[in-house]
Amino acid sequence: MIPIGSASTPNSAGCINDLVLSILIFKLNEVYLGIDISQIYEMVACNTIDDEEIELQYIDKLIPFRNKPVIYICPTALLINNNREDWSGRTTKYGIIIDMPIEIIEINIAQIQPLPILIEQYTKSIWAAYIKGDDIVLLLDLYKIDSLK
Amino acid sequence: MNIHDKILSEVKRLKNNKIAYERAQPVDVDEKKIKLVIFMLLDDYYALRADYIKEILICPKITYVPLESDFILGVISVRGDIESVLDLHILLGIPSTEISATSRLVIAEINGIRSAILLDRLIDVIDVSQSTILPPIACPTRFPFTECGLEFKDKFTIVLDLDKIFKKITP
Repeated sequence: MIPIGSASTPNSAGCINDLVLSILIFKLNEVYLGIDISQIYEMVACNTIDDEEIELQYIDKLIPFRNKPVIYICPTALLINNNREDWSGRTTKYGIIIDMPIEIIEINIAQIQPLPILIEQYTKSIWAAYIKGDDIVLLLDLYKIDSLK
Repeated sequence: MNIHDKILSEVKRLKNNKIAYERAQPVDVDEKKIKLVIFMLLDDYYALRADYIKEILICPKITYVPLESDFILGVISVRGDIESVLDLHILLGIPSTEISATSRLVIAEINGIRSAILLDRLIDVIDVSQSTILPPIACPTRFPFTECGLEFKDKFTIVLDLDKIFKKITP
């Protein structure tokens, strides 16, 4: 179990241009995806979760992978930092199952690329992209995935 | 020769002179021309106005983007900028093809909307006279994005209306 979720860090002067995001990168169907770890409460292997109250959903059920069936090689659960409480006063636990977490990297927001207009209008959950070497990492905003709200 | 014959003879002479004069006139080299990028999708020729084509690329790695839309293939990086990649096959209702060595991408832009477009094969970039352009064929369901047409290598070639294409896929 890896507790994560430290907030993204602006510089000492708090200037947004110098804001650094910590991004967890994972791979699904040859597509690199990234999540700001400030949205993640915990990362845990799926087979170690024994809390029945945690609602987990596979990431490909939340964003439409239409090119081919998704096969999970190393499924891993990310519990989402939602800071909400249910009717009984407990903090609700939601999570997604991703595949193949690769690394956590720090990126300056100046390195983040907006999505092209034609892409932007068809997705809310992918908010931007980051070019990492020869690959493009699509950045997900878990709070914008409707079915997770 | 009566008066009518004389008149007719004069009319014919004047007419012949007029024809000879017109034939002697130089061809209007300033006739308006349009530059077209000719390409193939499957076995048919299509064209786009070159005015809207910013760049032609050998097909780089396309990153699939999980979207509801099936005519957007994904994104590419062009010198650090991210461009969407549009698949015209699906928009035009023709079978999709695999990306091959002949595939090319053109970066097209009109009215502030910009995207790469996948072509099966780039054929030529040509200048054609406005007078050789044919009116759009009247079949809006089969060819919804036709701006006009032309004969190219003895085949009817559809000049696609990029503005209509982008408007169709943007709200």
